[in-house]
Amino acid sequence: MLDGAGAPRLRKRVRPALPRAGPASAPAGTVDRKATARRRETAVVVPVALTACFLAVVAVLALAVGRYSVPLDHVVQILTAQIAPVPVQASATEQNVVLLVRLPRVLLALLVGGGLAIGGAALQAIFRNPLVSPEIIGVSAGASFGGALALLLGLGPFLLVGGSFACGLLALGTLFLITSGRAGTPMLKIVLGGVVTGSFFSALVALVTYIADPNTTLPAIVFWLLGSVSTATFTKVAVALIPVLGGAAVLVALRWRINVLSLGDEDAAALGVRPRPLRWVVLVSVALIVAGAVAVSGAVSWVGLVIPHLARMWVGPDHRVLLPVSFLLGGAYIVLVDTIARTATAGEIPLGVLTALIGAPVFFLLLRRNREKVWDSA
Amino acid sequence: MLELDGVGFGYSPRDWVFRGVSFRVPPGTATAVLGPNGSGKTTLVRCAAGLLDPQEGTVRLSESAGYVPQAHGSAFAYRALDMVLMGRARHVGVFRTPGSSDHEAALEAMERVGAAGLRDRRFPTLSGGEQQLILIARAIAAGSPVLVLDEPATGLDLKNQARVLTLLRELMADGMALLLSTHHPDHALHLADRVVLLGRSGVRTGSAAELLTDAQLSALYGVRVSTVAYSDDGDGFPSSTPRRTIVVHYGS
Amino acid sequence: MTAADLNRRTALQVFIAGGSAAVLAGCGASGNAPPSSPAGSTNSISLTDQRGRTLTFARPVARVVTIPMPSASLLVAVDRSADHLAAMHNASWVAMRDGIMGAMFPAALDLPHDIATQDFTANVESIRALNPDVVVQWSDAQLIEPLEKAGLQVLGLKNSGTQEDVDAWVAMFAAMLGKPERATELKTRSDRELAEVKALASGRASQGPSILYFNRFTGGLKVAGANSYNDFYIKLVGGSNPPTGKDPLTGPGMVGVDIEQVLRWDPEVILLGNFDAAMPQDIYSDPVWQTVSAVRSKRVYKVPLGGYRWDPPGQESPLMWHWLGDIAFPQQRSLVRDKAAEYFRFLYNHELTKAELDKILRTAENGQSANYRQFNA
Repeated sequence: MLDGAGAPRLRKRVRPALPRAGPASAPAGTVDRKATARRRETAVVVPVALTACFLAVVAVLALAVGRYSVPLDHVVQILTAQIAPVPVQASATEQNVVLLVRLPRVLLALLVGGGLAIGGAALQAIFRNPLVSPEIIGVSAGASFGGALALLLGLGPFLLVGGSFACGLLALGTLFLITSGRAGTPMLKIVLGGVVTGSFFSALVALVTYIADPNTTLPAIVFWLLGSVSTATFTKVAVALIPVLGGAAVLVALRWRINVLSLGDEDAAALGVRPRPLRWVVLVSVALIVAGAVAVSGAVSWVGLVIPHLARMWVGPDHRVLLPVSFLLGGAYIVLVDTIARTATAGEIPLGVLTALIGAPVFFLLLRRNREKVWDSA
Repeated sequence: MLELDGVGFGYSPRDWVFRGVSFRVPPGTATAVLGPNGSGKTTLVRCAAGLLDPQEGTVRLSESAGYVPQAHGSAFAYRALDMVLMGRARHVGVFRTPGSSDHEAALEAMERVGAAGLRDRRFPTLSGGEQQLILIARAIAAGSPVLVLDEPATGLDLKNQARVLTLLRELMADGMALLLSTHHPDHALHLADRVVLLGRSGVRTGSAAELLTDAQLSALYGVRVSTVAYSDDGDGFPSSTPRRTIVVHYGS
Repeated sequence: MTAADLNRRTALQVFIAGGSAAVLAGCGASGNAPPSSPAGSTNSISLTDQRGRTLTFARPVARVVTIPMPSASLLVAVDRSADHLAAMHNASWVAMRDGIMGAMFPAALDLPHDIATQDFTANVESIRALNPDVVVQWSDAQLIEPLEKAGLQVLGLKNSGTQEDVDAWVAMFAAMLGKPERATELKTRSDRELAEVKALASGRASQGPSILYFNRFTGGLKVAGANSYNDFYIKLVGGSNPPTGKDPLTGPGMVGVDIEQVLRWDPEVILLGNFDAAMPQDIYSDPVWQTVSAVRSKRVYKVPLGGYRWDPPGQESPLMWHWLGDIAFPQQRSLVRDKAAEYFRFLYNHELTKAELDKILRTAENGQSANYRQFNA
């Protein structure tokens, strides 16, 4: 867009100074520069396209398997019938299973996994810290409290989502208030504020479980807190869609600015990017995503920590690639894990338990094997 | 063009780091800021670059300055080219990513500092000297005719110091205005037209010839310092004055 | 954050809260020791609780504090009055207030009910202040120890979700209240009903329907697996319980399942339990469920709720057996209404009104469902 008002002028001044000092590099012409620019763009498009294909394969696979067996050709038939007039031989139950049971569940898993992963990647960038995950800013705990409270009061599914959403934003507001003072470095204040907010709302969650009737509401709250997308409906998908996709869209749009911000406040400011407002835009976007995800699925842990690491190992730290790849990979990961959760046994394994069981050891291995490659120092 | 007029900065009203700093850095010249540790060199440089707002006085910049921070690690292992590209942030819209003209500017800046071959290397894997070159290239890529550098040669070995100084001389020759802070008076002797001395007794600004004397430097650092002339063995730069360097008289 | 300690705490709670969760399968036998009437002394009462501890009372107990939830209403049923109840757990009190128990024994609603936390940890000082003769508590050393240290007699209960446990509780309560004959009376009556239901089942020519009980419906499905009380009574009336059929679930007690598993089972009758607020209407209006046999034939029922929930084992369980028998094999006119009226007289010395019977049998909530008219007055 703005193609560098200062650059041509500089070039004019710079040109006559040839030959140049320093270790001589191959003289590079404009053609080579254009080629390099093109190569960089390919480097962005290819991994994103590959991950998108992977996600599509995983999603179709997830639609095809389940406790109720639907033949693959029927699944394809049912899906294509949604966009084109093809005869469907599948039974009504098969159609119900694919369209009303699996489809919302797969979509919800995709949104939750993708949202938490991209949120984690963005937070790790702005905090310049590999151990940061969406839980750190306290929004997860806030949203958990809102949901648990709604369950305690028996307010029904709409207020469950609304409650967790509202309390997630309340946690963010608390964070904002705590960090708004002038003293201290902004990064440290946000981490401290996040810990304080998170602990406070965790205590409120504990209070809710303490008050809850062990016969009726408590098991429901515990189940919800464990994290699951088993109660997925299209309504829940619609509820999660706006905050998760909205937040993710803002993060993806800011992907290159996030690169600049990840250099640190001083560098960013020197390069002409105001760090404070940008950081808050990122924080609010992540809070939206997390509140939306927790509202529909409870607390699914470790995704926001593990997936960005995994993605960074593959595509490097450039957020132009990393953010979209994290979203797609996170979505595929949760769709995959949830498919295991609902098909491995006749019973249902809580999703949050599986993600933690897989996430913690995988994270440990990743850190051990590849730390130097991705992080300068951590 | 960079111009400071009566600039003063302090963290509290009675505790001034410096006051009344005035100087101009015209195109094609270099100004060096010298002073002992804690004298406020970095603070002054950051005020000049627009990263800190001075309590009094004005900083006039024809455009925003390209700023080269002290060499530092990066949390993320970006490629050298991506690092340089970030210098284009002012020219790239908030929701955009750098386009081909930005890539061209970045590559040109890398060529300019002689680091084009490093473009696909990860920044943290580069040597200190290479990192400094990349950071300078990043500031050049921003397209500003004014460069502000915070101790550009600190932490580098002699060869890399020479490499950076040579590059800075070339940039001056291209018509850029440089402001740099440094711990090395000999660098100032080699490079600077004008110097700013941040001493305990106040701020002095003047030409290099006038201020980089034995007496001034000895007073500034509180240790006996002599400047000595040496023969120019043809480093490729015409110099009107005899080349001089610094000798410090260490106590026994 | 809190997840870790929550889990530890809830492991216990979920199993208890499930009501009929049979996590401790087989433990019922150990607590089944019948109260022994000591031959030596004439007045003192001695009995062994389900931890194997022997308690001795100089005279029948007059002030009982109950902490496990079902024990308050069970004590009232054994005693046919609330006069010897000194305090109860808040959840028991809420159930009494909201259910028919409060109407039958209004005095019970004035009793203290803030004597323990939701995870059954007793407030020792407030219980001590009530000066009870005995405290009924779950047989968990952690829960009992503080009470015994305060010099209180504690009767330990175990819950494996079986009829045997309920029988054992009834026997112990009757013994300490000095009415051992009441235990025999209740047991005889319950055995008679059991035999009657069994006889009805074996007399039928046709196979019963597959009946799926949902312990939880909203926020994740949970069904009754092997060794659960629900499995027992579904089979008792001649039905089949899909989770223990040819496509079984692993694990005993209440098991979480995916809806696809339910679609695969395709149950002919669905029972909604009393541990959440799900109603038949919720299933009938959900498009996902439309192809399930039970929904197509409108055979989705909310389980009745009397003095206590009918889904877990309790003093009113014989009524549940009869009700479920008529759900599985619909009658022109069910006898459950008359039986319930008679049984409440026997248990609580209470004359049920028509409105109370409608409320217990949930005739409004089940009004849309097939064959429910048999339960109308």
